[in-house]
Amino acid sequence: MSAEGEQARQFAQRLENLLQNVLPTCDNAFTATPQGKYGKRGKTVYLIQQRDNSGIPLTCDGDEILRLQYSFLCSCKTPQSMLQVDKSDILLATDSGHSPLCHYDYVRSPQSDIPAAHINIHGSNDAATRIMLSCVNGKRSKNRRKQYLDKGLFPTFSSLHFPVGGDRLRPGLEDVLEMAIYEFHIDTQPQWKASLAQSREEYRTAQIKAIVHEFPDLAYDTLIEDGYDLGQRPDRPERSDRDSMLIRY
Amino acid sequence: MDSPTALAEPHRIADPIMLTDKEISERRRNIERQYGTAAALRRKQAMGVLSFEEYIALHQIEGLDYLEKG
Repeated sequence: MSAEGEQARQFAQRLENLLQNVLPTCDNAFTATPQGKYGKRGKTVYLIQQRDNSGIPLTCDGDEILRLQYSFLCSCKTPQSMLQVDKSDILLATDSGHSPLCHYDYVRSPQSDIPAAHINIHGSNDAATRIMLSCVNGKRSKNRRKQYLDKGLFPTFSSLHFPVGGDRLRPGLEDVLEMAIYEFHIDTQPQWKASLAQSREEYRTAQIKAIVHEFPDLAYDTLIEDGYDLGQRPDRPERSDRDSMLIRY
Repeated sequence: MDSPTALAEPHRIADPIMLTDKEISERRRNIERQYGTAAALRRKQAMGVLSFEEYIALHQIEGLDYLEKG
């Protein structure tokens, strides 16, 4: 297996480990074997998603109340590159007709003026719909009115894109699972809290490292301002008043 | 942070399956046969009448499109 393929496999394995340690025991894997394709100039692309096309059932006292679906479209630009997520979505659906409840999406390179990381919420809000149609000068509002007049497409609340943290500070699968636990009391493994915290710490650590890679000047300025000796690895300050930001929900 | 206790033994995810253009097209055709084309599904999505299964189907098609473009 190539190095890129192994990165994709490990990405899928990390999702699987999280789900196996949070959700009730499942005989089969939650996550499908990654599907990939060799692209041009050494690029490889991968699709990582849940195994069951109908989503993962989330239960409360044994009764199914939600379905979870996730997909991550990832690529390695070259055989030596790190795997990057180009597009992802994590969706929760209710059991009644499996209507989507909400979905957290990420698009590395949006084709329109939507935020890279956003949440769409499936619900109705007449006031929001009214102002979506009535705002005069916005390009998006004009497009909505045109679609409504020309094709009868009524603007829905679910078409609103609520920004959530940008490329590096966006919610992860851990946050969606914890939301489902607290808000909907889904069934869990006994060790769910510690497993979520560990996985979230890994995810946020990777994001912070990526931010420092991209902005070493900010890291340098901060360390200098805080008086650190750059010739030595600094110790992480202890926080006794609250949980670490790396694990906090 | 302390390590979680009693971690379940996870299922081992297998190595990626690398698809050809032909296999991708065949998978897309199968989904479209059952749920309709991506364009039709997007029209339903714009009208807010997409079911969960159709949402999954649309995402599967979009995933295959992503793989195909490489």
